[in-house]
Amino acid sequence: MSVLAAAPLVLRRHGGIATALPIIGFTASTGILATVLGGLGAFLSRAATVGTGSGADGPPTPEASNLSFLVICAIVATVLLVPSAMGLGSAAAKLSLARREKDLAAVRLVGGTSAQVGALAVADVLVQAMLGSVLGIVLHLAVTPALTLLDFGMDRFTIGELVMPLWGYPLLLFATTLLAGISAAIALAGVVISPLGVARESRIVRMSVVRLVVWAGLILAFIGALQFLPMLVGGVENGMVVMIAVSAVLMALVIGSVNIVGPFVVWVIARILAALAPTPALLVGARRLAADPRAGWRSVSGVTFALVVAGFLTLTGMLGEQGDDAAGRALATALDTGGLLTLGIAAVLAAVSTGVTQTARVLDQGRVYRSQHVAGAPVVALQRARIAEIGIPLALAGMIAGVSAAGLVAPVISGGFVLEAVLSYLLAAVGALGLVALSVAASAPLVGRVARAGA
Amino acid sequence: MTAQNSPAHPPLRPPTAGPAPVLAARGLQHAYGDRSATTLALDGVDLDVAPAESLAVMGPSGCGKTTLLHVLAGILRPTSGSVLHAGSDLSALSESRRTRLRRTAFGFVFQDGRLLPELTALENAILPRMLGGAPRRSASAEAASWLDRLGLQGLHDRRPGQLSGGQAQRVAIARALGGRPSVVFADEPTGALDQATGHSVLAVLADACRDAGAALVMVTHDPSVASTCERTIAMRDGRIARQFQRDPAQGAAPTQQVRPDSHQVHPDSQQGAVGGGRR
Repeated sequence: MSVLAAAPLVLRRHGGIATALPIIGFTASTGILATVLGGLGAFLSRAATVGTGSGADGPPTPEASNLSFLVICAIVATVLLVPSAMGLGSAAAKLSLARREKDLAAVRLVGGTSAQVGALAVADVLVQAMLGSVLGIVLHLAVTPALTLLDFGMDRFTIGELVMPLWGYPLLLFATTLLAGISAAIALAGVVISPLGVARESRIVRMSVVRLVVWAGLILAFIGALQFLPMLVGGVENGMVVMIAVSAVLMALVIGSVNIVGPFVVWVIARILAALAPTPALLVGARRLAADPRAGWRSVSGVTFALVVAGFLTLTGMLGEQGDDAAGRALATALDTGGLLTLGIAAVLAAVSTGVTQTARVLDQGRVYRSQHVAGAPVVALQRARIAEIGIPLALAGMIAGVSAAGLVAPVISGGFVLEAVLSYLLAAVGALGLVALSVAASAPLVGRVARAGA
Repeated sequence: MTAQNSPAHPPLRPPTAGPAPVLAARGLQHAYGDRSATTLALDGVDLDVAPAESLAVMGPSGCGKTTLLHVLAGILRPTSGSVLHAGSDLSALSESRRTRLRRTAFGFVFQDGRLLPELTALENAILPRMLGGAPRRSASAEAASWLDRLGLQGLHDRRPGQLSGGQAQRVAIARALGGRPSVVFADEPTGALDQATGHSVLAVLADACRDAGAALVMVTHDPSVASTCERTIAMRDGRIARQFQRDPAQGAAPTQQVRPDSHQVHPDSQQGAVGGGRR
């Protein structure tokens, strides 16, 4: 029997939360991707059907006059949501791999080569990704009827408009599974699976200040583009389209760069806090963050993303307040609905990714929790260290997301809107804090269970 | 200090002859599994550990030696029997009080150190004292002194991954002693080290415990490791089968062999527990 033929025996599902977590991640990721892409398709097909208000038979309907702008908004929402949903899928793949490390070491022990074990690991992730993706598509189809009730200031969308074309589903299934496989293969490059266990690359983490420069540069570039692009493309044919396209790309880069600067800031602050920490919880939490700032940032990146979206929504909210005619009111309704929908999806993404990563971190650190508890660390001290480990990047995420969102909104914001924008953002920040507190509370009993395991 | 399993065998040393034991186990039984499949890991163990004594617990795999260590340390609650420390029965204490006791009165050295990989050597060593409420500055001064005494000068800021196995175990010893324990529990402390490093670490561990006035209870399967302790008990099938007292001149020699059926002793029949016979 070859090693690969023995795979089903070795990689038998363990059941329980450890197996469920990656599948939950894949399900949420695919479900959100399908829903967002389906929604974008709905706006595009409606625009193609209704036109964009340039017909010759009298004045355009409010729907027709707003559709071209709403299509742009839908593209922006897609740009905001798709990378984060794909990121959740990638995190789920790495999580799936981490759950399997002991089994893979066992395969090495019985004679499997590194290549065979690598293939086995990726195949295992692919199976979970496919299962999660199928469930995600089912979830998307299940929630679609509820989405037809949303009011975008025009004729409501039908189920037929909101679902993807039939050929889109197998393509999505293939793409999400492939992404998971690639993520797993990349993650495998950082570990050595030996017959005696799994060794990670252990090196002293150093973060470059270039990360900070890139982030600040992109915000400045975005602000500059919105200031100067109208002048540059004013006389060009389709200049507006060019301007929107460039702005959308820069906006996506600004949002993406939050994940570049975040680990750097976490690393710097965590090192300072660890050196000064007066309590064991802060010492342990800060040191863990300093040792792996990327993981610390990842655990709150979903919330950060939701905060950036919340900040950005202040822009669309303000745009929606323009115009008292029928078209203006319809546009305001559409922007309110679209904004809340985007924020809602971002919140779901944040809740799932925070919950999944927090639970995974508790499971990963089970042995450490256990030995600390044996040596006399009360469970409450372990909890405090975990709260510090989450609280530090969360506080920093709030600040970075706030500055990033302000950078996105700054070009169009006027003084009168500042207070409203700050209040909206603070409201979203409180919501995000509540979300993380909920996920910490949800995984709290697990810490006690893991620490006391065997006692 | 005594180990006994039978009313027919008097204590090796009358309780009045030496200091009161720092730990006294009476009639310990511990079972794993449920009613359908029960494994008796401890089957009626009586044991006294004197202050600053070094005691090795030996035996083949599955004989119950690690379970005995866990029960003595209050990590596991025995199915029946008692473990007395400073007048308190560990099995009667709540989980949180046992945890506090492990933090304030006991120290632990595991086979692989189990240091927190993200913390420096000094930070690992100060953790128990900080958990006990000591300010970081004073905990650091004390731990730094222990690290220096254990030969780790200049390595305080290294992480466990930057230390050799022997150096990491010395940090674990400093951490165990940092909380000023009355008993240090060591589970195969040299199991992951080469022989030369292992002997060096053992010598450091025994000396450090003696200097700190802490008893050492060490689980090992290696007779050469056990021979460094003043006393060795050999376990089999959850019982203390034999015990040896080290003769400094001649090495380890058996001082008493306990009958295999002698574990069936009622705890009430035992005298010489902590505090002159109290249970």
